[in-house]
Amino acid sequence: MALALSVPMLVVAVGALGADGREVWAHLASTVMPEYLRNSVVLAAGSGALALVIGVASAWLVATRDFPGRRLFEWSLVLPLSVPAYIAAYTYAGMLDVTGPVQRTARALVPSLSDTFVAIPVMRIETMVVIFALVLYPYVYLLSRAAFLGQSRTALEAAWTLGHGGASAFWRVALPLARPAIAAGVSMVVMEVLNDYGAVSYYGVTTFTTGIFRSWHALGDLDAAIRLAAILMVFVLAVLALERSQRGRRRVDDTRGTGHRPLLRQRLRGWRAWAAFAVCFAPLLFGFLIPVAQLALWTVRTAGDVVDASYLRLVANSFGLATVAALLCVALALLLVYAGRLDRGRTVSAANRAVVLGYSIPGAVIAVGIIVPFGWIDRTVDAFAEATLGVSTGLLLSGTLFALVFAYAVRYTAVALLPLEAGFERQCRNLDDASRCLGEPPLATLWRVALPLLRRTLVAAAILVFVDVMKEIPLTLSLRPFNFDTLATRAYQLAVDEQVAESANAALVIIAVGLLPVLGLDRLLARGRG
Amino acid sequence: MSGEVDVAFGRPGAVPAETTGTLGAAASPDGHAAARPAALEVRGLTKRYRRGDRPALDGVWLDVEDGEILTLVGESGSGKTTFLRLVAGLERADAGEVVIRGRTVCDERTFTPPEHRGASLVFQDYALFPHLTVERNVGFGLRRLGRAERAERVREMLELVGLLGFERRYPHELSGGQQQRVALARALAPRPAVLLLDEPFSNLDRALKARLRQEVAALIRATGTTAVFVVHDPDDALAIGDRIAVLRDGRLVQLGKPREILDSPCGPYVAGFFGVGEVVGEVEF
Ligand SMILES: Nc1ncnc2c1ncn2[C@@H]1O[C@H](COP(=O)(O)OP(=O)(O)OP(=O)(O)O)[C@@H](O)[C@H]1O
Ligand SMILES: [Mg+2]
Repeated sequence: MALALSVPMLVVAVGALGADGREVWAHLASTVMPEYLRNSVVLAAGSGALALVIGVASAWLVATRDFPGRRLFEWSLVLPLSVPAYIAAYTYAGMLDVTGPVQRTARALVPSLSDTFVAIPVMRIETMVVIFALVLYPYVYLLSRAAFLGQSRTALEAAWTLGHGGASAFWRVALPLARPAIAAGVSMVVMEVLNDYGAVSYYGVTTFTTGIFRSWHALGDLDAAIRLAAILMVFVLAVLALERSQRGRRRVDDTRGTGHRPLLRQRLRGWRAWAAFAVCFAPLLFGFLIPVAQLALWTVRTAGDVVDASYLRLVANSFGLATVAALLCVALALLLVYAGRLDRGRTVSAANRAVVLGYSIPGAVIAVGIIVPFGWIDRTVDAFAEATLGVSTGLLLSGTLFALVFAYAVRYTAVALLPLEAGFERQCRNLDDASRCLGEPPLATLWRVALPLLRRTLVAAAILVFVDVMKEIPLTLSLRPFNFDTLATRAYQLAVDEQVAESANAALVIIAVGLLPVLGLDRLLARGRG
Repeated sequence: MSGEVDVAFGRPGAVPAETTGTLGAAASPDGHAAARPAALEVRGLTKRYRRGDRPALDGVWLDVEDGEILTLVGESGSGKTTFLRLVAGLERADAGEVVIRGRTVCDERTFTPPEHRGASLVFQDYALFPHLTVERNVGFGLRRLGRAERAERVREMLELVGLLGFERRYPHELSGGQQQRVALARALAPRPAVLLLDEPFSNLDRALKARLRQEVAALIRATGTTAVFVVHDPDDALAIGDRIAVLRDGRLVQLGKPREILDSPCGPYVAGFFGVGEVVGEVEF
């Protein structure tokens, strides 16, 4: 089972190393590769660095200082995570557009500008970096805040009493201690950036992801697509390895056993308080409030035209697909985790690590890894049917919902696997062993002991997958059946077709759904329980 | 009673007196046991958790006769839990055999999963199912029985451990001692061939512990169950066991009746462990 989920990665790896690849490699290297590489690196490094600064700064302030609005920021700083990057990207593009609200307001306020139409060069890689950082910094914020809180009294207060006040305590104690958590957060940001297709393609920034789809869809060159996918995969694995090395043997979420006396926060006064407020408010404002407000305005303006029968079908498609995927992923994850427990390490656990990798592998890579074997099966079956029965079976797998759901399973089973693994450790300890000793075989144990105990974790895991599927773009766009649309793909296409305002409605639904777990996730990570 | 707690210092009168009493009771089952097959035979059991590590259990041989209570003692990390988990089938052995009631459940070729071994384990932290009531916890392993039969058996068990009237409570609504008795009732309910208990007293305070260990031993004896009882405290081991097995670093260093161990501990380690080092040690070495 774990093997089935790893198939796409294997296909890409094998395909890239396969025969007669020389020319394709050479061609790629001499043409598009340098540009893809440069853009991807700039995006990943730039967004990662910026998200690091925003995330760590806000987390440090919220965790160790007291200032107006701190309690509010504590949870609201997570909100931008519910805004998919592509939605933020085209919302800002639309706002700053010549006919967008910013320039119109400027013209209305300052009469002398009434004839000025400034083409603000928004659609640039630099803007892209800022937007990614604005909606993804919460990963860094969440993990580093949990780390700062976990250090609480012990290390930090020791530093304070030893005469290392504010800045010194931060640089010499808190930051090094939180480094594994911060590295984990930044690597999540980088993964998301490398996975993104919607935002970069909207801005016309060519990266590996867009390159893969261009080679595949526009040029029909699957060979090149596979090779690009392979490079991207290596890239991702390198980031993972880097994160690992930062982590060392420490556990990122190791906040237990600190007795958890709440930290005595330093109260900030005067301009310092306001500066802290500004530092926390800015990312919230630009990452969440402004885009959502703009989308709400657009929605109000266009709701009458947009909400009709076909819109409802989109909603049904999205919710249906996300529900199926969530149930499937959770069921798979549960079986994998339990199998890992039965087998006490070794084989299954190794397989589970491979599944977890699926989540770090960009959608574009998975799409290629699926379309290749599925296409091959289709052709073989078709040829066989033609030869023996004289009928053409056409495409059985490619372009079906089955292929799409399989792709979701590859990518998102990990999302359910990680919390379930932790849940098993925490909830079941040796209860499953006790059940076995009392004569219940594994499946009965799963049913009578693990399921009831893990109920909440299962729901949480399902919600996480659900939300991820709701906003998913690259897999859905490339594997969906003909004429099948979801809220995400429709929103994206409307935006591409310069109907940004009309897309706002669907975007808001996606964000609203995304808010559910974002707030829950905050609790999950901050308190280290689930 | 408090005098006997500090076993490490000399041998207060209470300990040998108690021990002799237990021995006397054990004398007759011993006689029968010779005729019956051993309930549990362990031959050369070995387990290494990680390659290259020192084995957690290293070639342990022992038999437990039918109806006998064997206490297993040793320092922390000596492999007691590992031994129980191997017998229960919760870990796979690297070498050695386990035979329960004449049936080989573990050797090079066989591995019987825990649910088919008939070995019931009482966990150190009791491992009561938090989502089930006392009644359902005790009835958990009785699914093969009919409804009426199961209810009857659960009642019987709760009566045995003195917890009638607690059927509807959840584990978190019980005291530590009560939880422990529920765990015992749950493990005894399916009439296991061997009952394995992992330091069931370590969570309790000393006074309660002293009372409970007698109770538990009496309960196990009352049901005629064969038991391997892991105990931290040498005092516990002497008081409960028909025989005592001493583990050190995964090896079995002595196996014998309490009297034998007290009279002729094999080596300074065992003597020291039972607090008889100075008395016997000077004579022997
Ligand atoms: N799951 C495991 N993985 C690796 N090593 C283990 C594992 N369980 C036990 N060990 C090691 O095996 C040895 C024996 O452990 P075991 O738990 O059997 O000791 P114990 O006698 O029950 O100790 P205690 O009295 O503290 O419960 C120890 O050195 C321990 O570190
Ligand atoms: Mg133990």
